[in-house]
Amino acid sequence: MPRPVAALRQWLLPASFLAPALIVLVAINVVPLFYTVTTSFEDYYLPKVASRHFNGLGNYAELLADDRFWGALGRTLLFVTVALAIEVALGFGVALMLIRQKRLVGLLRGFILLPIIITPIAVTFVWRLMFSPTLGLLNYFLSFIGLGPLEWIYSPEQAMPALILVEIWQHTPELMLIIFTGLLTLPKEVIEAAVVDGARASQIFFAIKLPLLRPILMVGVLFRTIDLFKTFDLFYILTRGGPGVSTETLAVYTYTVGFSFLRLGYGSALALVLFLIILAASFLIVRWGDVRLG
Amino acid sequence: MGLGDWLNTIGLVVIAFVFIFPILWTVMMSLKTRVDALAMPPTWLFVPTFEHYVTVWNEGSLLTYATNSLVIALASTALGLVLGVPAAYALARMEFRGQRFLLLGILSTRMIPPVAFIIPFFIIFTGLGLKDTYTALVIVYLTIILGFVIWMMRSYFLDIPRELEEAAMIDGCSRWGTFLRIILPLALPGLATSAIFSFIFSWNEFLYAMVLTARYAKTLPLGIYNWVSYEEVKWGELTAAAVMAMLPVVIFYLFVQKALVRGLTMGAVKG
Repeated sequence: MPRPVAALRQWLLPASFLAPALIVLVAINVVPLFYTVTTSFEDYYLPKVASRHFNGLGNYAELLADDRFWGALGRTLLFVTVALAIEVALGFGVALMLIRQKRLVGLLRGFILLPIIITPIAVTFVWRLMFSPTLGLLNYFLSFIGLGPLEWIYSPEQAMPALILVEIWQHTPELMLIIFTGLLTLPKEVIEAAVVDGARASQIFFAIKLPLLRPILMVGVLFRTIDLFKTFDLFYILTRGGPGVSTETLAVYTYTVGFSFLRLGYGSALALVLFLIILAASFLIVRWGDVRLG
Repeated sequence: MGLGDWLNTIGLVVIAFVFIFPILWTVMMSLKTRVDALAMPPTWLFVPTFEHYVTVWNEGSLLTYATNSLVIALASTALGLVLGVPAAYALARMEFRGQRFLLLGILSTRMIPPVAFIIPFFIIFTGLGLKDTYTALVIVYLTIILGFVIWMMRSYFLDIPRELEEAAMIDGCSRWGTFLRIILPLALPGLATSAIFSFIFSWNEFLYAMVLTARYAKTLPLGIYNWVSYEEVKWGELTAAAVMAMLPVVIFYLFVQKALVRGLTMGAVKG
């Protein structure tokens, strides 16, 4: 076979497997994203579609001067870092307990993991009930130890911590499972050798287990970070960003600008900023965390 | 068992309780009469009633929403598999330029926040007259499902020993023939897991459904959300609706529990 024909054939085979998926991926991901980019350079107020026009960097200039944007950005970063730190710490704790457990491991694991898959809308109902000022069990339990009652999601100061509580309830099991799986794959010989050499438990954990776990742990951190930045249902259904703007994150503010204020141009600019932040955070985690994805 | 083991067990039982208690409490609440539900301190023992389930079922046209959810979830899952599985095979087994770039590109679609998609999809679907249709939601759900299926299935294909296909191809089987007849049957557990995860994603999704549907294609999460908007105090109905939304997902969960870690990391961590 002449070379160009051979090259074409070599290329055609993978193409026959890949082409349908790639065409669809481009159509449903790249095209809308491109549309968001172009819209972000426009002044596009939905009730006045006719006056839609190119606005250059106008939306981005507005964004830099928008206090509500900076507030939302700060709350987003706070939410992501605090929730992630707690989820990793608790996830580690529970995973280490589960790994030394000898009986009922499957059952306990099954119960602990359940919140992960529960429909988010149902989760928000569950917690609305727990937080309720009249029927809330949280305040009822707190009264036993002489605390409370707290206002939870109904006070500007307590709303964000309350939402973080819901978030860690639902997603700590995710990191717990990833760490638990990682712990199962650790080479036993290395750890046994360290024990024989008289290493203390804390030394074994920090000098041996943690470094070996790092790649797997970082995969978990990567996916959790992405999803934490994207979190919407929790905020929208439980507080709508309130009281005031006390729980308004970038995802919620973007939605409000786009679908309450109907400013699609400015909303697109905000959405892209959020996307770029997620991309940057993911890049840093992959780089620093030595993540091997495939 | 030593003291340490007992403490460990007790600790884990308490932790497991913390994670399932809010769910159990919701289920209990949905089975209480109005009088029992409003009692404070709460009643722990009560005669269960199914009246709230009946009310929710009759008033909220929940069956329509559930049917919409089911059709949309099945269609997006099926399309995701049909398109994604062959692509995953090519990415696992064939050598070509730009492979790494393609994989990372597909992964980065996961990083696009839904709020960055709702505006263009809202405009595009309004323009095409597709708003409030099944098609609209199926397309939007594919933005997550397709990339997910490709990464998941690729990890399953990488686990299958190469010798099997090499033997088949020596026997004269074409690449597609090998893929369909030899590889796919071996990857059946992977297909099942990918399908269930895709289904659960579609079933649970809220934001896109809220923006892109109005009446006809309204899904179950939105139907349930109605109970928040206009009836704040009807705890019985609210919790009954929540339980009905959870139920199918919990049943599926029993099947994918073993593959959960794989699904959560798009195949990067194997259980």
